[in-house]
Amino acid sequence: MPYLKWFIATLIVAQLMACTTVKPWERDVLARRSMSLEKNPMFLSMDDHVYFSKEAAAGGRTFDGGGCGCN
Amino acid sequence: MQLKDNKGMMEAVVLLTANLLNSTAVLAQDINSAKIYDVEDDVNFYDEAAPSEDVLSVDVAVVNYEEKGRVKAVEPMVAVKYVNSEGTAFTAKYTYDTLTGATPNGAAPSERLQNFIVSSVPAGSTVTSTSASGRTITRTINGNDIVAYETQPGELPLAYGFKDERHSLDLGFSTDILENTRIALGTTISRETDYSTNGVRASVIQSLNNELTTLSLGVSLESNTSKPENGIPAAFSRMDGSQGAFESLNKDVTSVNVGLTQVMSRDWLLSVNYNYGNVSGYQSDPYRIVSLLHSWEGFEWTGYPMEYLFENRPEERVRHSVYLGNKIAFDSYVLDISGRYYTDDWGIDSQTLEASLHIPVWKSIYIEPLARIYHQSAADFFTYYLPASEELPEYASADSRLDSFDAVTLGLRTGMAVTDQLEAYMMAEYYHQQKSGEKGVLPGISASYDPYAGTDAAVAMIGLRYTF
Amino acid sequence: MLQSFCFKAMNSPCEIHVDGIDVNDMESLGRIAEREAHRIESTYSRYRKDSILSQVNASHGSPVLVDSEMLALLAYAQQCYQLSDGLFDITSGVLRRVWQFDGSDNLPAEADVASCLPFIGFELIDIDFEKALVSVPQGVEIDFGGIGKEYADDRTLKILQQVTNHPILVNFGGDLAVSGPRIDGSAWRVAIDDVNEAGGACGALELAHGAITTSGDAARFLIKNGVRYSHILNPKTGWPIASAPRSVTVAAPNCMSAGMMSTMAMLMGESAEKFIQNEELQAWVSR
Repeated sequence: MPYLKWFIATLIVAQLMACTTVKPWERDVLARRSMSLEKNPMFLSMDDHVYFSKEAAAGGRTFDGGGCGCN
Repeated sequence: MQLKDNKGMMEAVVLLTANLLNSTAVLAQDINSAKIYDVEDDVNFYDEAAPSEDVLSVDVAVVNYEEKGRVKAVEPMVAVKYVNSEGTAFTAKYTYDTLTGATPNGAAPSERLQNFIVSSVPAGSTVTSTSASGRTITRTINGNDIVAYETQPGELPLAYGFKDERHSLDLGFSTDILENTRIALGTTISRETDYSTNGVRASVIQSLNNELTTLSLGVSLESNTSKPENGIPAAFSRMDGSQGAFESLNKDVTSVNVGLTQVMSRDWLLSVNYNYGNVSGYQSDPYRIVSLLHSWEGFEWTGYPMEYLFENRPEERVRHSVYLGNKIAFDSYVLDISGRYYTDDWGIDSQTLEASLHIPVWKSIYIEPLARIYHQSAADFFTYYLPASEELPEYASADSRLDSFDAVTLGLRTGMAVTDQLEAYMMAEYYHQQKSGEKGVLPGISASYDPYAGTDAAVAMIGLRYTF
Repeated sequence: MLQSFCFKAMNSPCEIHVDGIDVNDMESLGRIAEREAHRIESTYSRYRKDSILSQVNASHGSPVLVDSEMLALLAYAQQCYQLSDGLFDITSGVLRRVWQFDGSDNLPAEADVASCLPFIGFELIDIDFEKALVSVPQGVEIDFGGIGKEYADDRTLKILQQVTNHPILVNFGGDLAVSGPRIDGSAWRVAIDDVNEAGGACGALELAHGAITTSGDAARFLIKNGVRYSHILNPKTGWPIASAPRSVTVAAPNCMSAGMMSTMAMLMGESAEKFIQNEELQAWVSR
């Protein structure tokens, strides 16, 4: 079933496109500080650093480079 | 009223209408309703939209990291972010790290007193060492000055007096190149006494569907150089204090990131990320050893360390990770749930699940409890020891970061808007780590010792952000 | 939470949106708004025989006693008549008898149009401001259609503002007025309907203060020999303004000013853009 993968991918994309009924002017909630993906970048980078130095896995939200000799 | 040249009509009309509406002003008794509904004018600071243009903010924070009886680190940092009125952003972050304490050296615990040689040089020549804490012993044997440290029987061998300093600078720039297309560029530089990193990254971010969908594609290139004072030892060479075979070695990391964020509903934002990483070059830890233990059965010496050999990890590593994150708002509460699946060709698979709940408190504070569970399987070449009775494998490492373990993090984050422009924040987390699966068993008389080297850690951070 | 209340008045869909109150309070506020809209509609409606306006239109020269609100509106209409050099004229309603803007090519005969002209002209209205007496000669008719909806919009907003301090948006058939920004400080986001397609949005704008109205010919026009005749008529000639824009949207401190300025821009025909520029209006013209 070589095309099944592509079919599913298109389906997911179509699903994603269709699933919003948000009018462009209804973005008040998403604009809140509490909903921001970068509410506090210092917390995020601290967590990234701690987990990078203790665990083998890397990456996820962002790039998987380390920038330090701790792994 | 007269007009001149069709100008001033607007002002005149505005005045007229204002007068009209005031003169026909409504008296309260004309309205059949006596109730006055008041707005609570305390909307929590974190429910407000953050300014996104024409912003200059400075962050100053410090992190304190402590592992029970092991590494301690203090990390102050300063970050600046400037976004101009067109949305072009500049960021700069400087971090300074000081690490002290002890870290496992990779050797297995033993019933015997163990002696680890850091350096061995002809007697009389100057010895400078990065570790100097009173736990090292210096003696002269066979005309050589030996600097070494000891581990007591039954203890997990730790290298003490390990002290390091790191300076790191990260710069970022992003701007819109087309109406819905944005590019982001960045560079990172990090310098430690024995390690340096230089990296660059670039991404393109495309927004579609009236900004309800965002697609991003990014590439990052990083070059790392390991340059320990005593040189880099050859793979599986003996820990006898001699100068390493290589002065320095490189490791290059190439990473590709594909991301999607999608507004699922008025209250729900979804993020999906796929990350591909390729690491090439020297990836072993130049200080870490693996114990070569006597492993022939039935002897008095079975289980005793015969040699300490420097570890050897493959020169290639390919890794993939898939991340799924959600931010969902319920009134003023926000639930953040995310998961990540990771796999690489060193045989490590890991799953991560993280959740946090943003809880607004009064007008200007939030608290956010969080929990994270993590599991990883061991690398194919991970081992607690090398059996002397067998041929050496191609690769081996006893680094606990490559072991199989489960970890749970419990934490609490909080932020407070002291004024509209000054935000204070704090975070405290406890990381508990434990062996997953069957415990490692050492041979012979060492069988009663647990070789697992992972440990718990406590992290705390406190910071201030001032927005001009 | 944003609550809404919808009703019909002045032949248009009317919506009231209030930020941050609960459903029950919204119901009460909505009813207040509905009452006021219907009151204005019935007071200034041509169609209701018993309305003050109908009485004035049937006065045939005998003065009718009117209230202060009617007087104030007449005073306003008079000022606008003078400011616009006669282009804005509330007595031009009689032209609707000869013009039917139904999208067909039925232009009225020149003679028919000309016959209306003697009955058009604000100066034909006899107003005694001190005694509050108004009358019109037979054949002359006052029509508040050009300002009634905007007046209702502004009045409703004012009334609701006396009852609550929550942010309010009043939308009467596309004429919008807001009390101020929303609770979280953000502007109200409004979709602009495409002139060409009913129901299709062709953009969005943000309204944090004041009002916005649109004058347009989306449904009312005539086409003959490829020439489009908009429903904006020149009271002095009885014929449509040549080269009137398809629509003009104006933002102003209140609905009445926005409405007056968007009407004026339409009346300027091909000079609409110049007019807007001279007056430094926040406006958008669609041709």
